[in-house]
Amino acid sequence: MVSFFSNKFFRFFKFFKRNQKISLGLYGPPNAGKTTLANTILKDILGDDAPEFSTSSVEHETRKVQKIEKLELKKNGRTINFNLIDTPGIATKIDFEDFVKDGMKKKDAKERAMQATQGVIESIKWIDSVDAVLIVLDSTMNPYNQVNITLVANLVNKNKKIIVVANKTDLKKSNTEKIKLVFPDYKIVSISAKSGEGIEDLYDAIFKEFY
Amino acid sequence: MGGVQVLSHALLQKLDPVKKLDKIFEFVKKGEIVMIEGRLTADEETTLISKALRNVSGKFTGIEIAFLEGTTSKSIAQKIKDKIVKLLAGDRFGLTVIGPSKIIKEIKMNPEKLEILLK
Repeated sequence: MVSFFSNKFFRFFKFFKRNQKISLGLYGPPNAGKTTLANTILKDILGDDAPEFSTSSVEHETRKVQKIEKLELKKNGRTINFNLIDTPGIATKIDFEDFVKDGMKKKDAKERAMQATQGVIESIKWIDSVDAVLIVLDSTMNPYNQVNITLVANLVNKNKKIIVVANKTDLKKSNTEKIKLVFPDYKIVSISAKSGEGIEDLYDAIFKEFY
Repeated sequence: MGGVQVLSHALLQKLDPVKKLDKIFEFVKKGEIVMIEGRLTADEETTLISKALRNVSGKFTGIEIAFLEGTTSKSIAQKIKDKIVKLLAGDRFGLTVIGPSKIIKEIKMNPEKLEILLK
């Protein structure tokens, strides 16, 4: 019991101690743009030397947790040191036949489904290891679903700091107001990870909420 | 197979969290839709999702899950806020629907109704 409370206190203290390194997780449903956002952040910080993770319109392109360490986000004389954790999209179902419909061969589709399944399980396990989370949602989709609500509740339950990112504002169908309605108690930042629109607002929010 | 099981809060309350999830999952894996009085906690829901994914195969592709709160007197924002709070602690009010995704194509949620689309 003593150890439990001392661990909690240590994590809390460590989180708020300026210039400490934090683990920043990118979480959300499949195809919300988590990896595109990771690529944008990495390019802003590392420039042309930044690694570029693979993205695709086919769901579950990211099937393993991708971690980039020792990043520094600088703004207005302040610096946040962090590790960026890009996670596979959280889903409750994975059917290889959906990948076949996307034009994949049956054997490849089965392999992708198996890897995607492992990826979601790995994402869920990693929740305990992150300090702060950007919940990336596709603003063209209905945000009111059980996976999103369960994800937010689970992160809150585990004392994680969160920002909700309403992504894909470059698309006509984007509706960020719906996301604000569903998650009224959380900081919401509207961005297009693809075009970079709103990304500076996201960095401001990261400093405000996580620094 | 393909039936609907309606489980009371009283029945599930008697079980520890592991047995509770085992019971629910047993029905869902057999191809049945489970309706629960009240709701699972956030931890239980996450564990159920992991459990479902660990069991994905050709015949079982995962689950669909949704919750209906069932009260209509509050604003939508207040309902969603309450929903997140209750999800942390568990609740006997409302209705949770869990079913195999081989049978349920989609559950369209809004705070006042669930629309279950079957395949």
